[in-house]
Amino acid sequence: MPKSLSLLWNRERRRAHRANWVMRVRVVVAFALAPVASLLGAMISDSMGIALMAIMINLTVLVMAALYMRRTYRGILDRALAPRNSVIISSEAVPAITALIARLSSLMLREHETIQIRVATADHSVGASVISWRHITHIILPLGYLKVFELDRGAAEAILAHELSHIAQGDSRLWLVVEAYVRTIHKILIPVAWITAGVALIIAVVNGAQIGLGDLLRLASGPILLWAFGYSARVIRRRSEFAADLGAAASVGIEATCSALRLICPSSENLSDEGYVALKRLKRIESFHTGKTASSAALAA
Amino acid sequence: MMTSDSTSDEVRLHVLLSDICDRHLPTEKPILHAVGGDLIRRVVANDRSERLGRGEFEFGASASVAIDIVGVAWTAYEIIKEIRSHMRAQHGKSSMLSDVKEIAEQWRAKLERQGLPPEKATLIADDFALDIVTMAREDADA
Repeated sequence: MPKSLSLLWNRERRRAHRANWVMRVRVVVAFALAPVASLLGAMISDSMGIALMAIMINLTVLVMAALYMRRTYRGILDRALAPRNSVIISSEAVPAITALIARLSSLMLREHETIQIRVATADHSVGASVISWRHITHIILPLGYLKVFELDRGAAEAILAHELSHIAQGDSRLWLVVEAYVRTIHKILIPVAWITAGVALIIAVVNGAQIGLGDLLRLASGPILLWAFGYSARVIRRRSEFAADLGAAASVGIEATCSALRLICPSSENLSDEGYVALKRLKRIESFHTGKTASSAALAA
Repeated sequence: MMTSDSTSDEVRLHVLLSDICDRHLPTEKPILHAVGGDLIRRVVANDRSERLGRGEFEFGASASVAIDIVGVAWTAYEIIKEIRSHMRAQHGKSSMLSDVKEIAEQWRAKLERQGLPPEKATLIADDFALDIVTMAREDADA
C-alpha cells in the first residue's frame, strides 16, 4: 500500500466509523423523539379532546412508519439475498475471485469477517455490492462483474477492494437500517408532517388565531428536521463512498481504481445524479495521480 | 416439476453453451461455470421474471455490460422448441440440409436481436446450427 494513501484512508476510515456512530444515535433519537414530540405537541393544546386525537393520529402514523420501514428493510434484503435473485457460489466455482477476496481481506480488514460470495444470476451490471445480515457479510457479484474480471483484472480488483473498504469502515452493518429509515422518512413521515402542519395552520386560521413567524417556523420545523436528517444521511453516504474509493486506491493502485471508476462514468454529456457523482469520484482519485500530495487532494475534495 | 426430458435438455444445453463459450465467448466461460445451471434452468422453464440481486453500496448501479451467453442460451432453446414443434407437425419429415441452413439464418437473426454483434452472431449460428438440429432431433426421436 502506498504510505500516504494508506494514511489518508485510515483517517477517512476512522471518520466514517465516527459518522456511522453518529448516524446510529440519530436514528435512535429520531425514533425516540417522535412520540415524545407528539405528546408535547398535544399537551400545549387547550382542548383535551384535540390533544387525545393528536396523540392517536401521531401514534397511528408511527405504527404505519414502523411497518413501512420493516417492509422496506425486508425488501432490500430480499432484493439482495433471495435465492431467485442471487445464489451462493462455492470457492471452487470462482477460485480466482475467492483468492482475490482472501488477499484483499488480509490487507484491508482488521477484524475477522465471515464473507459469503453470491452471484446475481440475472443482473448484467458491473458493480459488486455488499450487505451484512446475521453476522455474515455477503458480497454480491453481478454477471457483468464476472465478465469485467476477465476483461480488465485491475478494474475488477479495484471494485472488490472498494466493497471491502465498506466492510472495513463498518458501513455494511449500519446502512441497511438507515436506508430503510431514510426511505420511510421520505415516503411517510415528511408528507404526513407537512399535512399535519397544514391542517394545524388551517384550524388556527379558522379559529381566528394570530399567526406569527415563530408559529410558522414551529409548524415547519418537524418536516424540515426530518428532511435535514435524510440529507445528512445522503452526505455521509457520499463521504463513505469516497473513503471506499481511497481504500481501493491504497490497496490496488490509483490507476486500477480510475479504470474501475471510468467503467461507471457516463460517456454522454447528459449526466444523471449517479453519473455526476461517478465523475466527481473519478476526478478525486485522478487528482492523486496528477502529482498532488495526498493531503492537498483531500483538501480539494 | 422437473421431468427427465427437461433434465436431459438442461444437460445438452449446458454442453452446447460450454462449446460455444470455448470457441467464441471465452470471456464468458466463468459466467457459465458459476451460474450456468441457474441460467439454463430458467431458459428451459421459460422463466423470464425480473431479478435484481443487489446489496448496498453498489459500485455503480447503472453501468452494465452485454452478457452474450444469456442471449445465446435463450435463442438456442427457442430454436430447439420451434424445430420440435415443426417436426411434430410434419411427423418428422424434413430435409436435414435445408433445415440446418435455414435454422442458422433464423438463429443469427435472433442473436442479433439479442444484441450480439453481427459477425459474432453469424459465427455462432454457422458453427452450431447443426448441433442444435441434432439436439432437437435426438429428443424428438427418443
